[in-house]
Amino acid sequence: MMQKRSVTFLGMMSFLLLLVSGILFVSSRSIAQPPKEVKTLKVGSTLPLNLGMGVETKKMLEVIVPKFNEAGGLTVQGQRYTIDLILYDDKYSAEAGRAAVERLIYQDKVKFIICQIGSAPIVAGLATTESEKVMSFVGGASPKIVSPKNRYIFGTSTTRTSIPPLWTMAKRVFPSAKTVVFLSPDDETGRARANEETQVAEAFGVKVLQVLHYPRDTVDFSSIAAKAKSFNSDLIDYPGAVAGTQFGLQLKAMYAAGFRGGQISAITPQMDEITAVASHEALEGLLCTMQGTEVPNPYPLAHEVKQDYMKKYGKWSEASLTWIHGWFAFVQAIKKADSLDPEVVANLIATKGLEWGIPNGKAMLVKRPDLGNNRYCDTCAEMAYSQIKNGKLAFIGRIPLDEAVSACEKVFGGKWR
Amino acid sequence: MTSALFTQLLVNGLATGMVYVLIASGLILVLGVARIFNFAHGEFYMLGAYATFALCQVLQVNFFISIILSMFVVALLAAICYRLIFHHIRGNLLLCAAASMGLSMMFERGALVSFGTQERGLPSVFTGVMAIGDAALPVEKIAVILLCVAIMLGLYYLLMRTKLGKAMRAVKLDTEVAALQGINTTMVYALAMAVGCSLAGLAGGIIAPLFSITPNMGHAMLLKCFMVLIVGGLESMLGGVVGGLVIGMTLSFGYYILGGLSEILLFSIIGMILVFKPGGLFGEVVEDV
Amino acid sequence: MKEVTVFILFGILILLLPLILKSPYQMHLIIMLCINIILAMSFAMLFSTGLITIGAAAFWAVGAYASTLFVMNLNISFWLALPLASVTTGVIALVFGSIIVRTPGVAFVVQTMVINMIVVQALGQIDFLGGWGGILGIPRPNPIGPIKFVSKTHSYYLILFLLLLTIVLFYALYSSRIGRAWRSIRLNPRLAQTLGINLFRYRLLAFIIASVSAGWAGSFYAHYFGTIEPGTFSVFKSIYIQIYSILGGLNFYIMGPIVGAFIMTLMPEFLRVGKEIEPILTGGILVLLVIFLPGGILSIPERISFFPKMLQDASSSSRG
Repeated sequence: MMQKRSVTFLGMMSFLLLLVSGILFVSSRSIAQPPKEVKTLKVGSTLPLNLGMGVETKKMLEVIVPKFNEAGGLTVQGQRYTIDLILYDDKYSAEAGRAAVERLIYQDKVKFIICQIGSAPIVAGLATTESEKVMSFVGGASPKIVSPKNRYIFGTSTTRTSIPPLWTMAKRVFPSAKTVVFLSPDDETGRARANEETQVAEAFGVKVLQVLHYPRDTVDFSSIAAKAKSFNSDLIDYPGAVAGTQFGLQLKAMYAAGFRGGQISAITPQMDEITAVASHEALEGLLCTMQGTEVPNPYPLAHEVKQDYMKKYGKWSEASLTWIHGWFAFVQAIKKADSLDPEVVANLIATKGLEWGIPNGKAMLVKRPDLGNNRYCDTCAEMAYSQIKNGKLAFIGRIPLDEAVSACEKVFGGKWR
Repeated sequence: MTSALFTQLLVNGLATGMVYVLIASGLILVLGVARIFNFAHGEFYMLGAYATFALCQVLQVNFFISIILSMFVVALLAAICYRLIFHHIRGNLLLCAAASMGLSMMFERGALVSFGTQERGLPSVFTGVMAIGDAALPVEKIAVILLCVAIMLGLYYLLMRTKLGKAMRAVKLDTEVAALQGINTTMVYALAMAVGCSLAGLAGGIIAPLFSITPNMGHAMLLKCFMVLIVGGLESMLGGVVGGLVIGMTLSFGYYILGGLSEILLFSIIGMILVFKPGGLFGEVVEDV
Repeated sequence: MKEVTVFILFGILILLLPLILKSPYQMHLIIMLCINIILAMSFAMLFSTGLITIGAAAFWAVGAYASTLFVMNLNISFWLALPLASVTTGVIALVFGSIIVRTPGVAFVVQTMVINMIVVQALGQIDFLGGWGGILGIPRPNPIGPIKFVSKTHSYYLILFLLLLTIVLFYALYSSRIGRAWRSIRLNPRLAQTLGINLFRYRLLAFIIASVSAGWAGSFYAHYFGTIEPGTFSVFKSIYIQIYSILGGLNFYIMGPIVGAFIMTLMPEFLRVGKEIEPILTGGILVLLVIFLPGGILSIPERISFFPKMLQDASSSSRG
């Protein structure tokens, strides 16, 4: 088979050629940086650029970080640093997330990673970040992130700690509620949140009649809503729901199925997406969190962040606000430790804690004795809440930081401070 | 289960099922007449939804006119795709599958880049609730059912009573002989693709006010569509109708009765059909393509 | 003789690769490349009998999860888990295969897709199998003497070994009577039947072997990557596997997958052009390929060789 052999030969020659050129290409990309007066600190991030929240967080970081650099950047031990943010797409998946983290650590040589959102990419990258001693300030809902085995990763979003304050507020808004039904997506986040919220609800004396899980990409909620309605609970809660149109569809279906009780959501709904699919009546009365930029008297940081974002992009989107905590925590942590050594910084804040400001107000690191972790590893923050009135979010009150931490201690147990 | 609840679930199942019927019929038409297995079929559904959204929401065109216009847009796009791509590889299953997969990737990502990751929605056109017996049924679901039935009747008329329909059926039976009879087969293939994909586009437009519009809605729908094909067979329109309704009903009642395990129920039904009637309920086992 | 020299040089390059490429990230790419080659070869084997599958990732998943569960729950060594997982994959392939191989053509394609979906769904829904979050902290292969499999270099040699084993096995099969039977089935099934070739048995054999090879690739992958989640094994991946084969050349059951996987795995790294539009480019390339170069990259030499021949004919006839 002459032809086959010459093809094999040709194939191999081209393979060889491609391989050699590839190696040369890739190795040529690491160009040495000329020494400067102001040094550059590389900071990494991976975001789900296939999802709105990922794209928005990227956009927000691209506003905050340059402004920070312009204002003088970071000063550590007398040396000024500008931050070079390197960002990759983790596609909200473990595989891509792990690859992105490895690229950040081995190729770009970062020592700090911030603002990752999905549990899947974060947890997949954990083995590498821990073994290479890279500090991470991330979001994510999984409790594995704050496991006591980890030394360099800190959960800086309030995903695990936002439910007790929410229910504190819920008890004020719906004082006579005794029963609740949960509607959750059937994925890692949905199941984890549903478990967590069950624990919280019961600690507040509200019985969970049923947890209904729906496949992730459901659009037709008619049957699920019919089933949920059939329990005739006082409340419906939506742990782990995604904030956009799908949530609106759930509300629409619940209303069509005849449910008229109280509704709670831990996330801030995207009002423009939700009102596009559901009528005002269907949305009325939903209790949800409110971002610090939308409250009647926003804090200066909230105001500033919103102004800067709108100056660059024209319209405003609050989708990133839950996820940018990592950046602020990172900056504060470095300042507090006055060091760029992850070992030093991590040890300091794990043992002494950290407080910092975010658009929502004050945030602090807390311990998680309920998860066996006596290091400061997770985050509680001040929260604001609203109810939907006439198709718009109406502010109803705040839960300050202290009260939020106390609520968490009450539900999960242990001393968090 | 009360009778009200039963009626509600029945209507839900019918509405969902009819949508599947519409889309699956399009796929079967293209497969049968043009012998093209179009993996990008779901994307035409998605594009129909976006086109309707763009016309209705952005240009403020009347909803029904938007649907009809989007149908033409999708049909045109499908015909172009046929002429540029599928014409050359018609009949070769793998190449068609590969090319349509490539198209599917391009369309989906293209929609994502053009329209953004934000999910879109159209406000309901038919608001309000209608009472049948003691069940409160959303009017828009009934509207969906009626619209789909009307379109299927239109399709039936097209295939059975018009010259084009006859030509399509002739080509499906035997393309060489059809050509000998003077039928312009290329034209028929292109039109089959146009009609088939526009059915999907119409479905997209119809459900736009009911559900959200996202760039990846085509994928999920395509999967359901394949299930319809497995149940009903690849060959017959009747199979498509039965398959679509079976899947729709299973999902509707299944969720209520079994909760999250309804997907498993669906897969089990599919599994059983695969084992006992591999060609689908109305299909034959085709020896070798 | 020239060819042998190239072979040897090539072989040396492959063996010494870890010394040339220092970065663990680049080694990771090469390791993924080797896995992708095995997967693409799996697709190609089925294609050699005329069957098109978009469910290869499902068997990759079975191998990965089976191996993981064996090691983590039954505490057995990776070296035992690898063959066990392969056997498990084989059994599952036997079960599914005997159902769906009866209906080749479009039905088969759809059925493989549905199988892939069912597997992913089951892996996601069943908590024992890790659920949607998957399984983490999968241990490395048990050390053989001083080799600990912690560094990428060791993993590389392991996958290289597996890959070469697969290639040798497949080559042997293709050269044998079985391979000839497969090719005749692909060319003309009716005719093959008249020659006494049992379509069902040979196709099922191909299905099982192809799936088993995806299975051992999966076992390696699980213990190398340390994390497995259902999303990795979706139909999307199966479609990519198909593209590797088509890009390389469908008529080349071993070289095709190698070339195709090489380009598809490494090219995105070189083109850092907007990660967002990457699927548009890949999709576009696929469409263009299918129209203009259906035989894949390796069919180019064939096409080029026409030219000199044409010139030769022209010049010889003019002398007439």
